[in-house]
Amino acid sequence: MKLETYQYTEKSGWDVPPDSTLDSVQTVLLFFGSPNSPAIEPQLQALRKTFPQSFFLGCSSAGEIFADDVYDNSISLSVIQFENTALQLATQTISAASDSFRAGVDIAKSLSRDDLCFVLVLSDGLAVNGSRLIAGLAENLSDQVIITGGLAGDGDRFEKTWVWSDAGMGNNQICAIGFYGEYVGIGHGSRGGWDVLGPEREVTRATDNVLYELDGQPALQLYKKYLGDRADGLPATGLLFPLAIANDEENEDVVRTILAVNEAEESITFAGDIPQGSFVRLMRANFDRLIDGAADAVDEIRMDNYKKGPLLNIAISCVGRRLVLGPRTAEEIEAVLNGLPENTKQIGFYSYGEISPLTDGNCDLHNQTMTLTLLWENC
Amino acid sequence: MGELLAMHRLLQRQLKKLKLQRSEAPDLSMWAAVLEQVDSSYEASDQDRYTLERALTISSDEMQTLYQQQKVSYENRLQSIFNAMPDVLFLLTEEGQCIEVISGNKRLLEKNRKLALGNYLHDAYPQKKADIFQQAIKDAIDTKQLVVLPYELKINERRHYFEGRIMSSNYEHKGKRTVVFIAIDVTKRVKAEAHGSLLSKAFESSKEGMLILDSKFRIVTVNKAFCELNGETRGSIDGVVSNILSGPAASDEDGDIKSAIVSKGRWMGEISGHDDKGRAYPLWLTVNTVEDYSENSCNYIVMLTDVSEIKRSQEELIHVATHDALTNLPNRVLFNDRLQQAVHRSKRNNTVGALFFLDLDRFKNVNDNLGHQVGDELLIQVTQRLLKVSRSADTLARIGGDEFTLIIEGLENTAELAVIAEKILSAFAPQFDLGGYNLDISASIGISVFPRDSDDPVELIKHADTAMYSAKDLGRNTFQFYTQELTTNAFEYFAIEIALRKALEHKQFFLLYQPQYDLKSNRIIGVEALIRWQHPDMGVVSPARFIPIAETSGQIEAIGQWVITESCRQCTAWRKQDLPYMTISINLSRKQLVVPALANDVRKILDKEEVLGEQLEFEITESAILDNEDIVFENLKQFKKMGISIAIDDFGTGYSSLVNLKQFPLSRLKIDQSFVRDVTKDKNDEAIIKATIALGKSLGLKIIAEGVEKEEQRRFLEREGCHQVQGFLLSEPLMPDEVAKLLK
Repeated sequence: MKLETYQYTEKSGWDVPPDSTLDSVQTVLLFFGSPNSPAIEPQLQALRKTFPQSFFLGCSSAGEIFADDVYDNSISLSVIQFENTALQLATQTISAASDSFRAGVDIAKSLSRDDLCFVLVLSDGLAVNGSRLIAGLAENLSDQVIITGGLAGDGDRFEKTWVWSDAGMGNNQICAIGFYGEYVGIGHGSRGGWDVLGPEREVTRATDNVLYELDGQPALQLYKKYLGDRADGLPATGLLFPLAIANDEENEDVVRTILAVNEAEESITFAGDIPQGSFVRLMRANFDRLIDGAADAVDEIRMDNYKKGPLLNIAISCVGRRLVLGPRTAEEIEAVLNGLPENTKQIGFYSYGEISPLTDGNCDLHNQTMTLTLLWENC
Repeated sequence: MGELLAMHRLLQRQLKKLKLQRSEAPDLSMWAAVLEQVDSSYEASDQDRYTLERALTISSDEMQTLYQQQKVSYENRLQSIFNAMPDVLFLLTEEGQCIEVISGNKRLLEKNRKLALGNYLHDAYPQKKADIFQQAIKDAIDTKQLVVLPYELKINERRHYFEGRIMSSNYEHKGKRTVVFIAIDVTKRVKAEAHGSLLSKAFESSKEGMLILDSKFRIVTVNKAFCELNGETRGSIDGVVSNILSGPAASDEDGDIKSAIVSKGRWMGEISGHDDKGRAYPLWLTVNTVEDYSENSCNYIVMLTDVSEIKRSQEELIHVATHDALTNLPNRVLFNDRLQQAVHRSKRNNTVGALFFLDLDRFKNVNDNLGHQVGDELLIQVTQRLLKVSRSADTLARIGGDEFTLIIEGLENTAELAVIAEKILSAFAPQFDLGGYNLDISASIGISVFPRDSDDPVELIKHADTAMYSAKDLGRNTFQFYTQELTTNAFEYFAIEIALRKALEHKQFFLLYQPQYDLKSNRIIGVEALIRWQHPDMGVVSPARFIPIAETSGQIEAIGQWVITESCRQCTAWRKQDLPYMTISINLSRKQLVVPALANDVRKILDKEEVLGEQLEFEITESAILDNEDIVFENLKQFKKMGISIAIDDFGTGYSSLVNLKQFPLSRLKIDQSFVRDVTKDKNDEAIIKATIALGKSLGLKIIAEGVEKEEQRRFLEREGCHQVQGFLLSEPLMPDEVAKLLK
């Protein structure tokens, strides 16, 4: 496997021109870019021409991770040329969030093969119900297939995200790439690091990922009360207080990120389902624990079958974390990279939702986590 | 400047982004950029802190509100539990200080108010009691086990009983270990137990035998008295089905006692118990049903009382009420009752009874002159003499001062009454020895006969009384019947009796002989000896008149013996005259037959008069063998041995049983003349005669008919196969020489 990472910034252009000799049918260009598409789309179109055989997979972000820092108005790109690993791309476009499950099913069906071992999925961050998408994917793929990925971001605006597919940059798209064969190596980890805040509350009214009431009170009112002046910044500021859903079965709380608010209904739309009748608690950031959490995600990664060669870490962190960490965001990225072998190259993005297996192995949508996917190819 | 201090990572990063070295001051333009970065960091930091602090405050408020709500709710729940708690709960430190008191029972709380919040056990209770509590607390803490401590408290001068339940608790109060002390008011239970124990003692110590049975009459429990009454041991009978109720109930319609209890729910009555020697004694049994509606079953409570004492005193009471205290004879009350019953019986059994009314002559004089004590003594002695001459079946009563009555029942005729009256009068003949006074006391007796004189007891008494006054009028020391005829008969009776005594001595008896004929040969086969009495004044007295008197006055034996002797003498005389052989039939009275010496006497006579037994035949009545007395049987056996034949006289008038007839050594049946008399007119008599003949033949006996006066009678008898006859048609009773003449 050959691996190169490149950064494009509006101010400086590409740090190094991407090496087009890496273009092949076993090459994948993975990139995360600014949601400001007019600025960066030409760069990506140009790359397409330079790497005509390669697979392209990318999405907009709420901050592009490159090496040990986070950037805006940039492109983080990695070019990975495999030697013994086959690749296949699948794309779906949906018209409503309710199509999410079906889209997951279709992608799974199109990628499914006996030697499929890993699926990296990038999805529109606003139009898709991530929970349903992953349910559709996971239910139609073998338990052995690792699924990771994330939901595209739109800075702190929550208006529009894009996902790159064969057809180019587009909204309401879900794009996934399958990795085949026994040579590709995948490690993954995911951690939160939030503290609970306030009492446990019952979800008294919710439909799918739209929450209306907690303990009989409009959910939006609660958020506004907690945010005070910063309620003006909703929905972005809502990320300061993500919602943890108590999960009795898994004994592992699932955290949800706010994607949108509806003032008229006083409802809040989350990146995943909020089951009615469940018990939830608000969460709050603790800088140190967030950063420690990121480092802990590294510890979760198992590299038992890694021998030697280049390593690519794809770090997908939640926009909520960036919002809270503010100028200290880079610390968690640094913490991650510091925990990985020295030869590891890292790209990634701040997302509207992270996808990775739970500790029990079942894939799920996470929010407010740092989710890591470490990729290599054994010879 | 020496060594550089460690720098905040954010500042390091900001410097790094601006490509500045911490060891070199930036130029002015870069300095502005540094400040801008740092400023924005501070801003962000302030904002974050503000947001976070605000959130924490809100969260804290929310938590506080929630806590308050939950606290109130918890307290309300706890309070409602406490309100429902009937006991008092104390939380006490190991030193006995009360740090919490809880109870839903206000009154109980009041009772225990001495141990109030903050108080120590030693403040609330006397030293001794407090020490006990203190020790229990220590035990509970040390052992970590429940300690149960019963105790009493005097509250408002009333004793209350508590059960203290002490448990060590996990709660520490100011570093002191604590216990939960629950005071349960068990006064009611203790009292109920005491009450139960009292009931149990009462049950156990009751003199009445008590028995509790379940619905299937199995013994649940018994008390001591029951075991004693029944000779049972307690353990051996628990669960056993009691047989005490298996007896029959008093009333027939009830069936046995058990069914009476089941149908009526209760039963009482007398049953028989048996002591350890098997003697029966009366027990009063009361059974009540106790329903248990919840269990839908019942128990039977059985009480047994030994009523033999009560019965005895009851009987004594009855005895006192019905007997004369002085003589212990039945008094007027009992006498009236007995008389009523006697009249009743005589009517039913068609027998004769009599009421003797006896009054001492001139008793008043004895009382007046010698005092009541002597009078009383006289009455006692009179009673003794009267009891001696009366039969045990008769009722002798004292119904007034010197008035006695005697009820006699079951007589066949009135002749006996005179004898009894005479016996009573003669009982007065010896002088009465009354403490130094020797007195001649006589009595006058009035007799009414029932049902002849009346069948009304009151009238009978009146009649006897009237008769008694007649006796007094006649000069006392005599008796009178209410019916003059009976008096006359009675005195005639005595005249005959007296005359009879001299008859033998004066040789006033003689025998006539009535020939008996064989019906076929028409020849004389024998004679029946018939006694006659030639009295110098009364002329010839019929045996029908004097024989009963001879029997009742005890003269029949001597007369009977004379008849046998005379018959034998005549027999020998006839033999010496060479008259043809024939038997002499002699009538034997029942009274003769019961004399053991009879057979022996007869043998002596036969020997003396040189007569063979075969020449004699004894005629006995059916009633003589009816009694089936051993003596009678023995005599008859002896006669048979001597060769004497036995005939049944008056056959058909008595109640012979075939068994008896077969049993005795009989040779002849004599059909009574009453049947023969109407034989040609009365079909019944004909039937009886026919049956008698058939019976006699079947037993191998000869049949003779007496009282044959008409030719058609004789022909009838001949036709029916009767063997022999006697009667006026053939010959009247004859003097011995006439017999000889006839035979010659």
